[in-house]
Amino acid sequence: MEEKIFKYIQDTVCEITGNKNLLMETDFVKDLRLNSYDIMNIVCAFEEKFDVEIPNRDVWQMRQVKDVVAYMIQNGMTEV
Amino acid sequence: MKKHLLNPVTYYTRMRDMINDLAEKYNDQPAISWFDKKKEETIVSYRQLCEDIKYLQEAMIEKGLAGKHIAIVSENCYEWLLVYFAANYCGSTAVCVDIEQSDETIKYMLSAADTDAIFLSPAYVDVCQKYANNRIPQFLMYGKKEGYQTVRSLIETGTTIWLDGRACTTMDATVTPDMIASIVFTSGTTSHAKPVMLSQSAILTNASDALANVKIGMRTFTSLPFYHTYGLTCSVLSMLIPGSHLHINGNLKTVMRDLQLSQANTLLTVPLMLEMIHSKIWQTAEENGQDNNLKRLFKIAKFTYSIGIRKTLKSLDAIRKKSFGTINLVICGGAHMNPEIMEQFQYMGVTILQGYGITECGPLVSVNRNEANKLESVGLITANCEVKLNNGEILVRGKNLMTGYYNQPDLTNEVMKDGWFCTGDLGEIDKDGFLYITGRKKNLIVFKNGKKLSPEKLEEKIKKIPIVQDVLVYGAANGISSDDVQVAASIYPIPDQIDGMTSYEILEYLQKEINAINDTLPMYQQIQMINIRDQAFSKTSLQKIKRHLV
Repeated sequence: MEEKIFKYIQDTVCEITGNKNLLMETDFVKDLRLNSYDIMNIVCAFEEKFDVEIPNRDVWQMRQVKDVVAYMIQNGMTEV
Repeated sequence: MKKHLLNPVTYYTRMRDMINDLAEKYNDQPAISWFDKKKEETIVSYRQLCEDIKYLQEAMIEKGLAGKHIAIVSENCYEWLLVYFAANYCGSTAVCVDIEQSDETIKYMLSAADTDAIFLSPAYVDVCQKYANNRIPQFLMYGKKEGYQTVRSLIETGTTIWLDGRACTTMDATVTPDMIASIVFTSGTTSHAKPVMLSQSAILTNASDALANVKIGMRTFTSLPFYHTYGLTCSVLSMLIPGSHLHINGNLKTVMRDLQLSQANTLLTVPLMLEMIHSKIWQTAEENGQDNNLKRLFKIAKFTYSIGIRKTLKSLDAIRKKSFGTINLVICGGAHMNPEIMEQFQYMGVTILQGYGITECGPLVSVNRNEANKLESVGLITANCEVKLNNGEILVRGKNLMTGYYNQPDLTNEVMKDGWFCTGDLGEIDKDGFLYITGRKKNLIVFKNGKKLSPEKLEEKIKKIPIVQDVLVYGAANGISSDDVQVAASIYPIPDQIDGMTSYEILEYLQKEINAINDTLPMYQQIQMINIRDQAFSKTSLQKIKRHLV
């Protein structure tokens, strides 16, 4: 399941930012240099896809791709 | 020096006087608006705003919160403002907590300000509970949570108190202009957050001073965090004092949507948002194969401007409408704004007025004026503020200054010299009275020959190298004594741009570019060392590099 979710994150990030090279350890700010607006655009895509609201406070806790994967599994966002 | 007449504006010294006066003057006119998820707008009139504040403060008094330290731990919302104003109305101090910080820092802020009660939004229940530990009362801004009273229910309590004729009648005589309105934490690029105390009169004077320099439109928009002085003083108080209809947003997810929905004509923001809009314009042009056409349009506009024709080209006006909606005036502060971007926006019919402020000064020190705007400058000094330069450092004196750092008299004494606040920023003032920021004093590189260098100047040049994302210039030790230094540059390249390049190729490319920059510099200022970072710099919430962490 993790792999499927990872692939979904990779596609979404690529669609919005053009970044293709993602690893589980990739840090959105340090490695991809995304600013707060880029991150929020990605979050909006997630919210739309899963019809949920992700609190901003939760967003800032997720620094790496693996944090997002864990968050999605924890919150039942697995139908990718 | 040319004298610029100040715009007429009302000055207040107490928050309660301002609130009562606004209700009387603007009554049923819209004061504050926001949009929900479904794009539905809620509008609150000046009369309603004033009533909500009055009733809330009655409930606060009943709860024993008058004259106390009341922390606000919440994202921007209408209730944030109600709590702030109600606290000030009954002589309390609002502790404005930066919610983007870690749980640890939030707890530190609550503790450093000796918080007596907390008003929080649902996302901060856990962190506040950890601090409060049932010792101090907590209230919820909105929503529902067992064991928490909400702001709305407090307003209902206050209404009952009022209707029963039990309203407090002694508060008006108790609240004085020098009472501390806010304890705000400086974001600090060079040290840890310090709790700044600002009085009611300092903040209100500063808010009116901003208006004496800048004429705003009557529909305004802000997404600046209220816990920063720029957000609260300039983007809320300055907007309410002349009776504008202020649209608030505190969510980056919906900021661009709400900006369009608001149909505002004045926007208050930071460079990051403008840079994002700018890069989106160019990205769209490139995707549509219109980038060369856009370049040509800006070239034509530049020429027509140079011969005094200020009419916006139709095609550029169309881009403005798409990117900015109805906005034609932007007030920008918080960090340095690229003048080239401002120039292009100007050709599109959007005037950008850059200002300069510092938390300890309320924050506004200077701002450009609608009729006197120099893009490279941070504008003219505000009316109740004086600026002098001491060896290039900007010193500020005036009614807008902080009372001091809370509980830290030694730290206060360090920055206050004979009534002047030492900003630590370096600047210049031109013959017309416009202020220019040239660097940070603490970042100065001092050479053995006694010469000094502001690293920011070199950083600006290096940032123009296409593969450079961020750069930090510093003095690297070169001998035994501390001033025996050579100039070094730590560079973080744009990951996409160096894809497929080896470290050697990156270094070789950068060295070639830096050699070209060195050719334009005096010998002692030349960059002698380059190091390439594989990790981005840590930044403050205003996107400034945290130099002390590098």
